[in-house]
Amino acid sequence: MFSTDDTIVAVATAAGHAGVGLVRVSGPAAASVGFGLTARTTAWPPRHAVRVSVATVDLTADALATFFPGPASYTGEDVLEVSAHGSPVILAAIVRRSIELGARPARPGEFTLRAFIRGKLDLVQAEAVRDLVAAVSPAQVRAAAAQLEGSLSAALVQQVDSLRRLETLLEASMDFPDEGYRFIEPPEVHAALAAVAQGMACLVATGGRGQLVRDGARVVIAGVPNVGKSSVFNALVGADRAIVTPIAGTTRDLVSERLVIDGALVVLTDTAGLRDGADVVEAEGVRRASAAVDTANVVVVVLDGSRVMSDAERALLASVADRAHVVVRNKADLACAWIDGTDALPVSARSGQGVPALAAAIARAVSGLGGGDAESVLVTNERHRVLLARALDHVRHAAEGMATSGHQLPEEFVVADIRAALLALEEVTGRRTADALLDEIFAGFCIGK
Amino acid sequence: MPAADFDVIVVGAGHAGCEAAWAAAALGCSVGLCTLSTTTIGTMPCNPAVGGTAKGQLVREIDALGGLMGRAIDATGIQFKVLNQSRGPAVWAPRAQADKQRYAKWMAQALATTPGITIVEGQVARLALQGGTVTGVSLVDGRAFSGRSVVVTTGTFLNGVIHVGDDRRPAGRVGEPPSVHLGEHLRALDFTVGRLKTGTPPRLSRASIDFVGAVSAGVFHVEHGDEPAVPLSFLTPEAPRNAVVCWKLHSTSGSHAAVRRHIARSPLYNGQIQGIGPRYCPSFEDKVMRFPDRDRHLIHLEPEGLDVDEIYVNGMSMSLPEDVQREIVAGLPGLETARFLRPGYAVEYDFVQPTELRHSLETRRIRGLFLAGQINGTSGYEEAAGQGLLAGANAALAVKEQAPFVVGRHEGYLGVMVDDLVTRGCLEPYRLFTSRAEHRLHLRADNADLRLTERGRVLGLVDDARWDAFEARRARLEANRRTLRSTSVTAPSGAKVTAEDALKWQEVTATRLVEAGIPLEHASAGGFDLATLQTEIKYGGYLRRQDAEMRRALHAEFQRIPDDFVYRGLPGLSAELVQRLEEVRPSSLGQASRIPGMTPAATVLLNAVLSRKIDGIDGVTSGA
Ligand SMILES: Cc1cc2nc3c(=O)[nH]c(=O)nc-3n(C[C@H](O)[C@H](O)[C@H](O)COP(=O)(O)OP(=O)(O)OC[C@H]3O[C@@H](n4cnc5c(N)ncnc54)[C@H](O)[C@@H]3O)c2cc1C
Ligand SMILES: Nc1nc2c(ncn2[C@@H]2O[C@H](COP(=O)(O)OP(=O)(O)OP(=O)(O)O)[C@@H](O)[C@H]2O)c(=O)[nH]1
Ligand SMILES: [Mg+2]
Repeated sequence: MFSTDDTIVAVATAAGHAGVGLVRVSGPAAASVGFGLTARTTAWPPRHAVRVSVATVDLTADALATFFPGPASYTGEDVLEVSAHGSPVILAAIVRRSIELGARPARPGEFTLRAFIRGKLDLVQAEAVRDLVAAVSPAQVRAAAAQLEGSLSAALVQQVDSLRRLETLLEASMDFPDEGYRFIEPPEVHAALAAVAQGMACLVATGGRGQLVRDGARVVIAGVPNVGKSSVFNALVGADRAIVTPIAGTTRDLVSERLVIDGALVVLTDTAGLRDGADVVEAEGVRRASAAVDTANVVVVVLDGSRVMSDAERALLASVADRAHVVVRNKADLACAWIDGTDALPVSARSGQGVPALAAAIARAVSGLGGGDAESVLVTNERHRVLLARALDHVRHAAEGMATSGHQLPEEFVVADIRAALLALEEVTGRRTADALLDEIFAGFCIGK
Repeated sequence: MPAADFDVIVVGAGHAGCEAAWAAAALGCSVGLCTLSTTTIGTMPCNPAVGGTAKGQLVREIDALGGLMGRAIDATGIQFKVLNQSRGPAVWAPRAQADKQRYAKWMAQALATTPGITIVEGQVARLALQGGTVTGVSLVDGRAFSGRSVVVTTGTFLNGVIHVGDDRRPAGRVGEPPSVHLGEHLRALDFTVGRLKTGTPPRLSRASIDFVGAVSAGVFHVEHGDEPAVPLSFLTPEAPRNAVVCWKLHSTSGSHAAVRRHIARSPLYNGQIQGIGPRYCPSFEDKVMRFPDRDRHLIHLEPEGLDVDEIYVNGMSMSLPEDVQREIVAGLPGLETARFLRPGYAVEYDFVQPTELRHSLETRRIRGLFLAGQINGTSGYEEAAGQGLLAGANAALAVKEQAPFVVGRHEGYLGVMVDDLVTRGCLEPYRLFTSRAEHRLHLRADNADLRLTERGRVLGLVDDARWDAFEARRARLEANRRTLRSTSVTAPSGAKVTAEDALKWQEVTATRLVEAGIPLEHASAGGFDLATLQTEIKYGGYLRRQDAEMRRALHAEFQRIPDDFVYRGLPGLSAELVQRLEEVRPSSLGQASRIPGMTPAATVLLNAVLSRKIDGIDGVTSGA
């Protein structure tokens, strides 16, 4: 069994990069660990950064220490935050010294866990913290930060409120038939359901975009053999990941790499050159390549500018015309064999010429996916997306039921869908109980015999 | 085990006690049924009616398990009506006006002829205990009986006090002494005891009211029963007879002004009453004071029986002094000259917080002791009867050392009610509402037998006659399903479709199909055969969707929590919540999540601990 009675410590900034690093100590002994670290003996001023010098066996470092007494702290417990130079060596020394002073190394996510179980974060926010820590692209960071501020919950409040209002009014008419009338008429119910469905559909639609932000856009490089696809892939990745040879048909299997291109998180995939009549192994490679192209978010078509364009290449270009794509005229270091340059991007994988422009073009294509800007993405978590989609399905079902029955569908069936929708939404936002429902009914209406 | 006087002792012969005694006897136990008076068995102290929203469904469930209430009301009801008929099948709720005297007599007779039941007249003062186990009861008059299980169903009698204005006196019901000894005894045993209040309206003389005149003056509206009347029991072979009409009227601003003028004399408003009353059944004072902008409230006049003069003034429960009540009533249209028989009153009484109970209705504190009915904080005859049946059956099962009988929330309102009580406790008198059920589409009045009779049969509650009738009904349903699938009809468009598909159209009912010559069997008087068939087919999509939701929810119900689970020391649970969890001792994660104050975060945490996934945030969130 684990416990939260003890004091934990860890480096709270991502490893390696930052100029300033943060060590966080949380738990009942946070203040006294701080005394030991800094040789300070007087009480910490709450929430004020204090200039200190941290002495460990190996070194002495200048630092800023801030003490947050619980419950007004990140974890809800007493928290001491020490910021020092971001060198891993210095930060590790501070952590080691804290452990000597009685803290225990925090397990991954344990600060967030403590915040969550002390009610400082709701489930959505806790998940957002996890996403934030794991974020690699700026869009991911923005989306996770928005959730941390509770903006998904806030965006759902309106839908949840109107569903609850409908439920209350419909329940009141069913449980108190003596009153002999409806508290809400079917057309109003229908209109309200339609409005909720529309609002939710917008949120769910950002879910597809949210998935791109979370998992990265699938960017697939395609072309006929030997045009330099693998070379372009390597140039973008910045490493010799894919095998490059002068032999047409070199690449067989898919080669993928997750990377940030100009701020956009993508999964870049190199494929086998598309052609007919190859051997069994290559034919399988071509099949996989086509499948990857079909499910790509963005297709990068690589052409060899030193040769005349083939029919197969023209067909490929035509097939991606109405999808997100980027056309590359590779081998731009060689003489151009084309009469019409079209709008293909001149790139030389060999010399590196045009590669930054290609990266920018890919990032533009990614950010143009699914409409809307990255800031408006609220649903980045798959669990939320599934729950929202389920709720939306129920709201639509209710609205359809009303429409197809000419508003004759009995209330309890409408309510069954409303409740199922609420149940799903409340897994995101928190739950209302049957008693709370009755409270609202009694507060609002004079009911009862 | 030394021979006991009785296997099961039932204290109290109200609606809970009667069903408890019957159920224990049906399971083969010898039963001692103790009552303050043999003349008050099955008394209805308040409104002369059985059934209504959610309650009607509950009566059908009691009946499906073999209980008495449905048959009693069918035999003695004087007006039958299904409420909510303008709405959907899941909220259709049968209800009947009762002839109170005949109802009580029928009940007493039924118990007298049930083998194994001995009626004991006297006041139970104490429980006999040995260690943590109950071994019998002792009476005020010094008699003592030993028993292996005891079911206490003492209604409003525990330390009961009734109020009419500033006239307050100890009483269980008007004219009956309270149970003070037993009340004190239960407090001394450390049970968490609270105080609730309920009320009843004045009674008027039927002979003194000019109904014909008031109806022709347009101030009363006649309310007829349904024709044909729909019975409450699955066993009633023919439609019962509607023997009376009721009347509806509205209060006037004059009567409201009288309430306001005298409000300081209402024990509810001057602090004399401490107990908490039901919001769903507000007193007339409350209606007037809390909703000042309503200029009229609905009132029903209901005869209390065929050969009694009493008229029950439904909607006017009051505890104002008698002279004020007279003034208010005389200010109502059509009642200016009505003779006032008895004032309304409020009664305050002790109840035991039902979080003291397990789902079997056995107390956690004392083995073999079961509580049922108003003592558990509920109000209403049907709620009492339902608990009585379960407690009586479980008392018998305990004697036989068999596992308790628990109805799930997805199986019946019985299950919803018991789980609500033992999980959430009572802050006000508890009444069932259909909105309390998660799986309402499934918990209908028409299919209570399909949900429960088989379980009752396995247990031994359902006798051969009922079982045969049930099997025949099930066979008819199956035959009807086949008939619908194999018969084709012509749609308005001229196309041929199956009768089953036709029944899905809005304007087509099963009755219309029968009229059109499709041979659907419909033998039951209540129209259950066609009702079930029609609902299953018309709303099949919805029922299947709710089933899917139900299966999702059942997951948490099957995540068991051991009885000795240690909550103390679990991080993230407030001290208050730990205390609640220790009181309630939820048996499943689903039950835990319904405890007041349980946040989704706390539920997730508990789940993580239970499934030993507590190694960091990943484990915790994946449990959600
Ligand atoms: C004034 C009043 C107004 C009410 N108003 C409403 C209302 O508006 N709506 C509603 O739904 N319900 C109302 N009720 C509640 C409804 O009547 C009860 O919920 C229901 O009858 C409770 O059934 P029960 O079996 O628990 O108890 P009861 O029917 O009260 O039966 C209690 C039994 O216990 C016996 N008893 C008590 N003490 C002892 C003892 N020490 N030894 C032996 N026997 C004992 C009594 O003789 C009696 O037989 C009202 C009740 C009262 C009294
Ligand atoms: N001059 C020149 N040669 C290039 C350039 N890019 C690739 N090549 C050469 O073209 C040949 C094929 O390169 P690959 O990257 O293997 O081509 P590919 O499209 O992946 O080929 P397959 O996997 O066989 O379909 C190699 O000999 C590369 O060195 C370029 O920009 N300029
Ligand atoms: Mg290649």
